[in-house]
Amino acid sequence: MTALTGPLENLGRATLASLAGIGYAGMLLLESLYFAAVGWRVGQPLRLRAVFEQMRQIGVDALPIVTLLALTVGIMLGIQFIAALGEFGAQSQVVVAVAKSVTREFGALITAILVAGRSGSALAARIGSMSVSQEVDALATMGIEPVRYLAAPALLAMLIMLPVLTIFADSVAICGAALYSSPSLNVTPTAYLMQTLALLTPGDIWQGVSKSAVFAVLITVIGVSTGFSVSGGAEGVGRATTRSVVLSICYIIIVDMIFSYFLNR
Amino acid sequence: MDATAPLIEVEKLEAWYGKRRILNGIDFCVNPGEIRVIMGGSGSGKSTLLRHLLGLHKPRSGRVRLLGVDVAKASEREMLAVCRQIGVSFQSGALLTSMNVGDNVALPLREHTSLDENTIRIMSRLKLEVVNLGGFQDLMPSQLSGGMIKRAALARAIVMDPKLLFFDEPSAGLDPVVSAELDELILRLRAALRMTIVVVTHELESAFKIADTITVLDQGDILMTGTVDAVRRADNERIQDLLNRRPREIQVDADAYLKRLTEEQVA
Repeated sequence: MTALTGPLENLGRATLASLAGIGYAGMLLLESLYFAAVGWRVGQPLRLRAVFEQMRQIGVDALPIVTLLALTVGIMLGIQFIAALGEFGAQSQVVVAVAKSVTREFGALITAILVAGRSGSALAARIGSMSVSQEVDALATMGIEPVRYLAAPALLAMLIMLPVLTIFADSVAICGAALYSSPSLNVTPTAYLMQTLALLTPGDIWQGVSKSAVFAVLITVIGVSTGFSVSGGAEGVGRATTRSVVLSICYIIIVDMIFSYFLNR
Repeated sequence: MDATAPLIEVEKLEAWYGKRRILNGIDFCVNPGEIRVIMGGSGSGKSTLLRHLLGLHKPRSGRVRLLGVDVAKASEREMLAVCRQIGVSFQSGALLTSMNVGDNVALPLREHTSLDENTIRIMSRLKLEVVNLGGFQDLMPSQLSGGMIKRAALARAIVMDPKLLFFDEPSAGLDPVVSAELDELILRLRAALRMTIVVVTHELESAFKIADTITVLDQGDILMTGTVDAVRRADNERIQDLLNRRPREIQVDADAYLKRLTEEQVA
């Protein structure tokens, strides 16, 4: 009998656990937004200083690596599109193909995956090790709401910086593509960029930016919730860090697909 | 709230971890100005009791009133008011590792008051002087010894001049000299700042030295609450076991024993 009920029981437990996880993450999101909006009225003000500190860590410190990866992706797209479109003699379409795919898809996706790896994991590790060493309890007993102090500034900073980084990555990637493809297309890089600007619509940029705002929420909420639910010492912190990165990237890609479907119908 | 009302009142508090009951409906009360030591062996439920007293766990049943406020039903604002009047020194210190000692001590002032930065700096340095850590404000917590971490945590706990101070295992992991110094410090604090202090410990020597009254916890029950002398003279066998460091005689229930050995693993 147990051979039959065992797997069923495990499935039930896993389902319940993941539902509980989603519920917990949702609650953290609502609480963070609540403290960000009206925290000052209940004696839990959001510190701008903490938000700026997080913005620096999430955004400014990520600039070099975002630049490098965006440039690489831009060049890679240039190579692929020239090869693929060249087969149909449609090389002139490279400009529009690169512009749309970067702004709608790759800029947001690459940036989000990078930030999930850099900052989402850092959030999980920081909050996780703080829970393990009773620092979170200490904050609570000092009357400092841990969600307000640790999660809300990160959420706000992520919501501001991820879209900004995405726009930055879009422009770097397009420049990369321009550098590679303009010789093959017999135009100057400036002419390539001017043509890109003429072809892009605000809708293209919005698509990427709106996705990146959703990714920002996902990365923060997953990082923070795995951090707060750490148990089991240093090993638990390690597990939470890995889990936050894997979960964030999975959800980012899935949500990206869903968004692309609905935005391009 | 009048001056003689108890600062902590616990009624019929029960605590559970999963299916295991940790506290069996205990009653507990601490009056203003006293130093109460909660004593008990490992697994007696004293840490669980402390977490309930601090409002970190909500009671499954029973009531915990801290400074006259029911922690389970308190609004955010009420709880914040309570938190400003208590100080907690955790077993591991729980200093924020990302800040230096001075910023750690100043944190409650920065978060809860609108004092200017100079006043905050002076006040936090004053408290560091009280715990004999004057001049150490620029060090990071990782650069401190175990005893210094406990003292820095104490400085942070008293920086808001709380009415009620909780101290979890002050002497755990410290050498006898340092732990004796901490005991002295606790007594001095009470004398100088008129605080009510609750200390959780399993160290007999330190308990007898600092306590006005002692509550002895054992397996989730309060065996007795009384003065140091009363506890020493108590004829309860478990208390005497604890005082004389006798190993307890564990009664083995044959059926339960067999069941534990043969029971199939529950996922």
